[in-house]
Amino acid sequence: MSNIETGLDYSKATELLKLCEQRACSVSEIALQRESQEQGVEPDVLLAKMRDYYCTMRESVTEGLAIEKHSDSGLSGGDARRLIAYASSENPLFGQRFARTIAYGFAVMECNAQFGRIVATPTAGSAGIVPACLLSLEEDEGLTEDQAARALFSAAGIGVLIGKNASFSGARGGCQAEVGSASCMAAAAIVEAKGGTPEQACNAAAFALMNTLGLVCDPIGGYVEVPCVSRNGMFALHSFEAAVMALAGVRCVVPLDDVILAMRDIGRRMPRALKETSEAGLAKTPTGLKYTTGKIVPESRDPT
Amino acid sequence: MVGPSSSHTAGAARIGLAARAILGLQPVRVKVQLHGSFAATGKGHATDRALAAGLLGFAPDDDRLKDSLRLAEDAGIAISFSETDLGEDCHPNAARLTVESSEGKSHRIIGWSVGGGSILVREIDGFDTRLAGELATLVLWHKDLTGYLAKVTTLYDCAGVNIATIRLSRTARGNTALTTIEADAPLPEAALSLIGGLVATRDLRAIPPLDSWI
Repeated sequence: MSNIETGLDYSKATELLKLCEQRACSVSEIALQRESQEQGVEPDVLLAKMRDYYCTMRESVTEGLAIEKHSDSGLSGGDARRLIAYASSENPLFGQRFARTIAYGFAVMECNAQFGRIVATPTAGSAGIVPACLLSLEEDEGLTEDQAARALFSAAGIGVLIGKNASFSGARGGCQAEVGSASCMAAAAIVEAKGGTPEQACNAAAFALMNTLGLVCDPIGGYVEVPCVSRNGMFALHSFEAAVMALAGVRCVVPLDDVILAMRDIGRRMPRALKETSEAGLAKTPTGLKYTTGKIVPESRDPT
Repeated sequence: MVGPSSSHTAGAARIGLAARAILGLQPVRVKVQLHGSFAATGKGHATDRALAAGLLGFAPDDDRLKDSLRLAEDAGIAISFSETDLGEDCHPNAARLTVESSEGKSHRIIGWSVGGGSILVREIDGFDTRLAGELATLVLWHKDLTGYLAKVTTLYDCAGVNIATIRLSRTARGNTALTTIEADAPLPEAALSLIGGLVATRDLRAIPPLDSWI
């Protein structure tokens, strides 16, 4: 039976919220049921699979925090370690958790830059945000593995909206499509994990994405390291900010559906040079140019 | 997954896997033509290593991806890389792969990496298609004959296999055509050999889902 027949298909946040209301359940539950229908797999099996992904995320953080050496490009490595050391220092700014959450975002991306295993949530270039948020919730709010798996379905439920109406690809929509989407999905996951309503989850998602609009993808040397590593650390906190606003009852004036449309529109208008081609921006600064070209074929052009 | 970018690495690995699957065996020679962002930032994103990994049959989360260029060489796969322009309508992350087997059989595919590691095979041997590699897939190279599709779909019906998508494209009337069918389950061997035995069938390939969920 398809999702259309069972009424679980949605492509707009308004439809998703309606489903949540009709069934009196969370975004995560709708996402789980929808995936279960689509794949013909029992929800329990999917939750177990999601728990495994969460464990892989945690492993990537552990691996990243232990990294001491530089990546092949020399652009990253060792900073997650620095941040976690600062977090454990005597009087870290904004408390331990602040620096620790940033460290987790860094850790996944450093692990990724050194060919460790990560979970693309939703992409590799934005893989630090969701794990950093969930791990922070696990350590400081007592989130269990089962709850983390649920939270990942909240994130996935919002991801469906972006996938259907815009794009996750940096080459299509710039960094707003990657880090923006991750931050948007993470914000909703945080809200639901903290007991917020589906409406609050969508509000948090809208705030998070709205405030990443316009982010370009201009990685130095074509490596997914600068600015990607630090950006993942920073935007994990951005997701928490969005969640706080939504949980406080602040309503995003522009609803999530419209923010997603804006993201797509901006992505389309964004010049190709700023969409994962490393032909402009940070990649073309004097510093950026010091790092070798990211081209597989240096200067050839094959017209066939 | 392993590697810096879901589009440039995981997606590229799946494009390699798809090319290998369409050839039906390990290629000995591969010509890779990179388009758009694949060409521009492929090195930093390890697109070359990912494609090689896929051609070797490695899943996107295989640790060996890191050393796949050397492993491909050891396995006797000669891969050449060049840049190309596949046109305005092409997704910015795309590659054309020409794969050749040791018996001289060859196929050419265009794969798009559409984000988050998902792919679409948009062309096989010049025929339009749209394969995501997530379902059991059947690729049929056949003569453009009346009733061919009816015979094939009847066999799906007999086998109790539900079809999800079906796409037929041809070059000219009565010439070669290509049909791709994505279904909820693979077709049993017996049905496959019946399809293979149809006069109009020139070649066929049954391809399992490229890799598990995500």
